[in-house]
Amino acid sequence: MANLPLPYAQLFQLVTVIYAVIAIVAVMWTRRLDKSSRYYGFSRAFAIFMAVVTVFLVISYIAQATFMKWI
Amino acid sequence: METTSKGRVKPGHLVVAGVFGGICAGAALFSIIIVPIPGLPGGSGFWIPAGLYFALTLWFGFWGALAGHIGTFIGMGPFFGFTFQVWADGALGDLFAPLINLAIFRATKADPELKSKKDQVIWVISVIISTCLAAMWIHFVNYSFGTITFDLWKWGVIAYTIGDTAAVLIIGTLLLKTATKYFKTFPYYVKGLFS
Repeated sequence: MANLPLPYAQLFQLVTVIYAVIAIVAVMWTRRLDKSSRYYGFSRAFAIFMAVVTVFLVISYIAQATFMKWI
Repeated sequence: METTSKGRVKPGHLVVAGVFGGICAGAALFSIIIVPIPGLPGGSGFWIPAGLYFALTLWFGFWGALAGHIGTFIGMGPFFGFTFQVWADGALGDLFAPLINLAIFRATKADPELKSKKDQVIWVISVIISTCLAAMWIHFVNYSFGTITFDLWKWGVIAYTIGDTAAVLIIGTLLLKTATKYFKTFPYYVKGLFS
C-alpha cells in the first residue's frame, strides 16, 4: 500500500514529535523576542499554528490507532 | 496592533508558501487516507490540512492556497500509490477551494479575525460553498477519468463536503480567532490576492 520510508504508524509518531519540537522552539523564540520586534507577531502566530497542528495530529493518531487496532 | 500595508509580491511570499506547504504535507500524509472510503480514492473523513490552508489563504492570499496545494500534492502523491490524475486532481481542488473562500471574504469585506457576527456567518457560509464546489469539481474529474461511477459521485461530494467543512470549521476557526491578529503584523501578510 503506502510507499513510505518507515511503517506508517512509526512515521506518524516521528512526524508528530518533530512538529511538537518545532512548536516548542517557536514558543521559546517568542518568549525571547521583545514585543516591539518585527518578528514577534509572526513567531507568536507560528507557535499557535504549530501547536494546533500538533494537537490535531495527536487526535488523528489516537483515532486511527483505535480504528486500525494499533492500540 | 499595527498592520502591514498592501505592497508588491516579494520572494518571501514564496518562502511562506514553501514552509507552510511542507507543514501541510505532514498533516496531509496522516489525515486518514489510510482509512479510505471504499470506492472513493483519496476520500477521507476529516481532512486536517483543509483547516490549515483555508486559514493560511485568508492570511497569505494565493500563497496560502499554494501551500495547501503543495501539501496535498506531496501528502497524497508519491507515497500512497494513487494515479497522478487522482492526486493532481485532489491537489487542484485544494487550491481552488480556499481561493473561492478568499474571494467571498474579499467581496464581502469580511475580517479573518472573525470578531463580528457578520464575519462569522460569512465564514461558515463561504466554507460550505467553497468545499462543496471543490468536491463537485474533484469528483467530476474522477468520474470523467472513469475512476468512480456516477452513483459514487454524489457520495463523494457529500463525504468531501462534510469532511472538509468539519475540519475547516473546527481547526480553521480556532486558528483564525487565535493567530490572525499576530499574523497581521507580519510583513508578508496579504491584503489582496498576491500581496
